[in-house]
Amino acid sequence: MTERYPVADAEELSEDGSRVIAEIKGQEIAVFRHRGEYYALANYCVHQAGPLCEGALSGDIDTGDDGWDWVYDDEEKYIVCPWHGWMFDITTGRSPKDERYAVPTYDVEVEDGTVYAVR
Amino acid sequence: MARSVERDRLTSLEEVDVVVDADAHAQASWDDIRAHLDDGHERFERFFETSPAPGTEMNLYHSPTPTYLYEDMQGGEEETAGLYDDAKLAETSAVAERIGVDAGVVNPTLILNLNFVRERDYAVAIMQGYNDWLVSELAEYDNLVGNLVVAPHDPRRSAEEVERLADEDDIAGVQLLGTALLPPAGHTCYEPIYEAAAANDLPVSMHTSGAGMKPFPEQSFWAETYAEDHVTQHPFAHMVNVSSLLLGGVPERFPGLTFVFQEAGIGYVPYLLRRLDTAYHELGPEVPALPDPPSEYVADSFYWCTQPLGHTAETPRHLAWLVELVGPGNVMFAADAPHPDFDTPEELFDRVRAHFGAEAVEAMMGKNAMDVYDIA
Ligand code: FES
Repeated sequence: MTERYPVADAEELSEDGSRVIAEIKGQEIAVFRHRGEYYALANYCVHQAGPLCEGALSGDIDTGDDGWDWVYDDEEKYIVCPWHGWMFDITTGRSPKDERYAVPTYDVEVEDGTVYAVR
Repeated sequence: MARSVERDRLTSLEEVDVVVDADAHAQASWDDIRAHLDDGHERFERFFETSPAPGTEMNLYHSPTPTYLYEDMQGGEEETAGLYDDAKLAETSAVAERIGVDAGVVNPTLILNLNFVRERDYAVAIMQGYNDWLVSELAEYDNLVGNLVVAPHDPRRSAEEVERLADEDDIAGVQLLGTALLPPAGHTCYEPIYEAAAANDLPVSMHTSGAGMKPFPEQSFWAETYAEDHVTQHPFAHMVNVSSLLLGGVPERFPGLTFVFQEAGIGYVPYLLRRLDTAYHELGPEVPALPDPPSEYVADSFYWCTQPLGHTAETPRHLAWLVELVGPGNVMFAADAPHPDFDTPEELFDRVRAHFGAEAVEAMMGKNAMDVYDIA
């Protein structure tokens, strides 16, 4: 059975790029706001169990059409683990570098100015 | 009811279909190269004629590098026989036969040092003269194919050289020498070479060399002896080139292109691959060209030649474990015939035959090389 847990007032997440980290029954879950939407991720890095969601948000570098040039994609949807730098897409929980790796994600609901994580 | 279990294990080398030496060697003398120079390169003929010992300036140690050290390798009676004389392919073929190798992929010996040459036109002349000599030599042997060499000093003319010779029956690949390759192999300047190799379906082999005056890897400058240089040179040069190729995204740009790394054994490979994958995750934004971890491209298209294996009888099972870490599908037996640090096929076979199924053992003893080099 999933349940929902209040994690923040919507006001705390009024800006893109803002986040809260809440503890739900011993597990830390972060909720991010990105482009007007909310995304929840476990605050847990699958590399060596670092506090993933305490890291910085970042864009990513990609290669241009010719395959050699580098292009910066400034959509800051990647959380960069503060321990060793592994990156995960906050909108999917997946590593952009390796399809084998992902962190758990959770649904988010907003009701009457309260943001809930569903777990 | 008893189940019939077929033993999927080989017990003797006799059961192996084909043993291929994925890193055999030919010795072209300066006379051989001079005799095959095209008209455009006559000025170098004069140099070869008047220099008392062309090529010797590549030697820095009193060791007769590239190491025709032992009597067995010194064909002929005369004192000078051996390194710079007419070893050609007869020696390679004789050693192969003696140790039980069925086919071989031939690389240079003296010309392993082509990258040490500074003058671009001179390097191009050697490339052309050596390659034409190689083609004419290979025609004499049914069981030998070869890698044409390219001169990284001039990627454009190297690409033309690949086009010129790619259709020769006995040309099985391109040799981009790994030592003294500056900048390293992942640099954009080599794109014409990779394009030509890919367009002609030729794998790129990278052979290192442990002799001579080379600017890369830099630690070689401080090696006082051939022994010291030989230990570190081969794996370090490969590690730099492999890292450069992968982190620079070459396998992503040339998805069909295969790379073969020769002469450094395989001990360094698991270490290198774990480090590459770690760097890929920890420094992700610096590796934008790869959507997958380096080890996955390696599994698809990189091959590692086994020679020199060392003294594996000391702890036989460790070699099997090592092959498992590297990936048996990516390992190629290499003898290095006729060089004096050669391995016999038993040196690999005896350590892996009980550990892997017949198919995997056949693959590493010869089938992988036959596939990659398209040996019939
Ligand atoms: S624990 Fe997150 S990158 Fe190592």
